[in-house]
Amino acid sequence: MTDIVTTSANEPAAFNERVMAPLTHTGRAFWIWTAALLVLVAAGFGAYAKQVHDGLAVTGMSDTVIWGVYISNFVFFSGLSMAGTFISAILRMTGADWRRPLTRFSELTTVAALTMCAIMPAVDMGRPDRLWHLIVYGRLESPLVWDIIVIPTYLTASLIYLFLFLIPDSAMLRDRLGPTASRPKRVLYSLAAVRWNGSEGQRKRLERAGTLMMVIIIPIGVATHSVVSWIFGMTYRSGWDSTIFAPYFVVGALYSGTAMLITLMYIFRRFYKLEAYLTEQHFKYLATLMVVFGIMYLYFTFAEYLTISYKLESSDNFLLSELFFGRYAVLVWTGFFGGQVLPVALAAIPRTRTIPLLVVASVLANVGMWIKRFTIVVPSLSLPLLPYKWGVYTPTAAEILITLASFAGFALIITIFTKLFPIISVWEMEEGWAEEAEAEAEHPHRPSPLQQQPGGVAP
Amino acid sequence: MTTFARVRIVLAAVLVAVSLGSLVVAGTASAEDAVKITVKVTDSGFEPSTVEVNQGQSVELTFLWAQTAHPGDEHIIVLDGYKLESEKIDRVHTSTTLKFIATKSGTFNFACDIECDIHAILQGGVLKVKAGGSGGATLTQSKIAIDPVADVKVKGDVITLLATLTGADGQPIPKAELMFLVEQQFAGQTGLMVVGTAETGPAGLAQLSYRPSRTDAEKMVIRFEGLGVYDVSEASVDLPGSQAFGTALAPGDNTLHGIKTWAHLGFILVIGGVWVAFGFILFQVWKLSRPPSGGGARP
Repeated sequence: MTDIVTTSANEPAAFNERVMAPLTHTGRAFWIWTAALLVLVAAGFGAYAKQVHDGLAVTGMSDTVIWGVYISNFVFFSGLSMAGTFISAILRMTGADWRRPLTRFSELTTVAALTMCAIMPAVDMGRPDRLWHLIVYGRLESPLVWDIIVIPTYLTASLIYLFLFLIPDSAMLRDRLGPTASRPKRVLYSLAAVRWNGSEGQRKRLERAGTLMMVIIIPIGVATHSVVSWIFGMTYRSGWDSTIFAPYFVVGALYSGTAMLITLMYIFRRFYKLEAYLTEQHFKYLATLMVVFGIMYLYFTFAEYLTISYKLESSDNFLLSELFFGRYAVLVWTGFFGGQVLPVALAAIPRTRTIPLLVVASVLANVGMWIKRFTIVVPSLSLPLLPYKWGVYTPTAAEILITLASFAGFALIITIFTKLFPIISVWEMEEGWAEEAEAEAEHPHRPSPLQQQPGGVAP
Repeated sequence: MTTFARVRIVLAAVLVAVSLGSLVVAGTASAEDAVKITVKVTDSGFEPSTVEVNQGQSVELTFLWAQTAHPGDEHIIVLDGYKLESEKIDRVHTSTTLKFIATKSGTFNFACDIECDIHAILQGGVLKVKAGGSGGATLTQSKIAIDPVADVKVKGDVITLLATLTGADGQPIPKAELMFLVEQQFAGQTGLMVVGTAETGPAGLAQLSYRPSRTDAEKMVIRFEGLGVYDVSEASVDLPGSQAFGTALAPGDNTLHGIKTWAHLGFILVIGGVWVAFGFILFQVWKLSRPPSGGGARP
C-alpha cells in the first residue's frame, strides 16, 4: 500500500477539520459498532451475574486448575498496557518528532487495557466482596498483594499521564465546541481544561509535571509487569519457577503492546480517514520496534526452555512433554510459530513490511501472545504435584462471554474516548509544525524529520 | 514284648507326635493357614465388594486388576483400621496382596487411594471381621533398636539417624516402613509430628536424615506400625539440641532469611514515593486551575 499524502494535509486547518470530524459527526457505522460492543458487554455482565449467583462452579476452574482464562486475560491486558505509555514516554523524552500522531492513542490504549486488567482478578475471585479481604488481610510478603498495589498505581499514573497531555486540547475543545456542545460535554471539557489559557507560566508548569510523569511512568510500567510475572516466578511450581520471568514478561508486554498499537493505528487511519497523519512510515517505525521486542522475546523463550529442558527435573519433564508433544502441543506450537516467528518475519522482511501485512502480523502477534499467556497459566496448574491425574481445564460459556466482554469493554473505552477527544494530539501536532516552520526559517530547504528517514514518505 | 506290640507302641507314639505337632502348628500364624481372598478390580467396582474373615485369622487379600474400559487406570488400595496400603496395580502390574492378621473385629473400608477414572465406584469395599472367630493367629512381636546417640553423625546441620527393626526371633524385618516423629508444641498442645519415613533394608536397617529446628534437646520417636502382621513397636531417643553441634546448625550471619521482611518494606517505600510524586503532579495541575496570572497564546 502506498500513502497518498498531500502537502495540504499537513496544514493545521485541514488537520483540525479531519481530526475533529469524529467529534462533531457520528455516522451509522459508529452506532452499529457501539451497539455491538454494548451487547457483548451486557452479555458479559449477564454471565458474571450468573457466576456471582452460582459461584465459580460455572467456570471450568477446579481445585487443581485454579486459574484459567481470567488470569490469562489479566496478564494479556497488562501486557497490552505496557507499550502505549512506554513508547509515548520514551519518544517524548527523546524528542522523536514522529511520535506526535501516536502519543494520544498510545496512552489511551494503556488506560483501556489497564482498566480491563484491573477488573480481571476481581472476576477471577468469584465473590467480589473478597477483594476487600485482600486489602484487609493480605500479607505484604505475597506478590498477589503487590499486584493489588501496583496495578492501581500504574492505572493512576496512566490516567494522570493521559490527562496531563490532554489539557491543552481540552481547552481547545472547550473554546471551539463549548457553545454548541451538550451540557455534559461542556462540563467535561471545562473540567479537563483546568482553566488552561496557554500562558507561559502554565506551559512551564505543565512541562514540569509532564516531564516528571514521563520519568516515573517508565519504571512504574516495568515494575508492574515484573510484579505480574512474580505472581508466577515466586511460586515453586514447574513452568513458573524461573528467575528470568520479570524481563521475559516486560519484553512480552512490549511486543504485544506494540502490535496492538499497529492494529489500532490501522483502525483509526482507516475509519477516521487519518491516512495523511498516520503514515506508512509510522507503521514501519512501530514494526521495527515490534521486530526488536519480538526477537528479544524469542531469545527469552529459547533461554527459558533450554535451561529447563537441559536439567529436566522430573516434574519439568512431565510439563515439557505435555507442552511440546502432549495435550498442549497444538496451542504451544501455534502460539510460537503463529504468534512469534511469523509476525516477526512479516515485520522484518522488507517486502512484507506493507501496511496490510503489518496489520496481519500485529493481530497474529496478539493472538499468539494470548495463547502464550494461557499456556503459562494453565498447564503448570494442571501438572499434578502428587501421584494424581492431570488437572483438566476447558473454559465454559460463562468464561468465554466474560472474556469477549472484556475485549469489548477495551474497545468501548477507546471508542467512547474518540467521540469526546481528538485521537491525535492537536497541540502536539501544531507544536511540531511550529518547530518545523521555525527550523525552515533558520535553515531553508531542510527536510522534515519524516523525510530524513530512509524510505520515509514525504508527508 | 512281642514285635507286634513294639510296632503298635511306635505307631501310637508317631500318632501322638503327629497330633501334638498339628496342635502346635495350628497355634501359630503361617502362610499355609492364611485365608486367601481375591478381589477383582473391574470397570464396575470391586468384585466381590464385601469380604468376610474371622477374627484371629491370617488373611491374604489379593487385588486383581481386571479392567477393560479404562486401560490407563492405576490403583493403590488402602485398608482402613489396619493402616495398610497396597502396591500400585495397573494393566502391567496386575496384582497386589495385603497380608495381615485380622486382630480387630468390625467392619472396615477398603478403597482406591489415587485419582482414577472409576475412583468414585472404588470407594465402597468392605472387610467384615467377625468377632470371636476360630482363627488362632497372633501378631508377632517386633523390636526397634536405635543406634546410640554417640553414633549419630553430624553432617553440616543434618543428623543421620539409624534404626534396626527385628522380629521376636531376632531376625531383621526388611521392607518395613518406619516413622520418625518428634515432640512438637502447637497451639499449646504437645504431640508427635512425623518428620519423615524410611524403609528398612535387607538387614532391617532404616536411615533418616533430619535437620533439627530447635536449639534445645528434643525427643525423637521411631515407630513401626506392624504391617498387619507384627505388633506395633516404638523406640525413642533424646536428640541433643542444635547448639550441641556447634555453629553448624545455626544460620550464619550472611543468609538471606530476612529478605521477606525488608523486600516488601522497600516495595512500600517505593510505591509511597510514587504516590507522593502523583501528589506533586496533581498539585501542579491544581495550580494551573488558579486564576491566570497573564494571558498568552494557546499552544
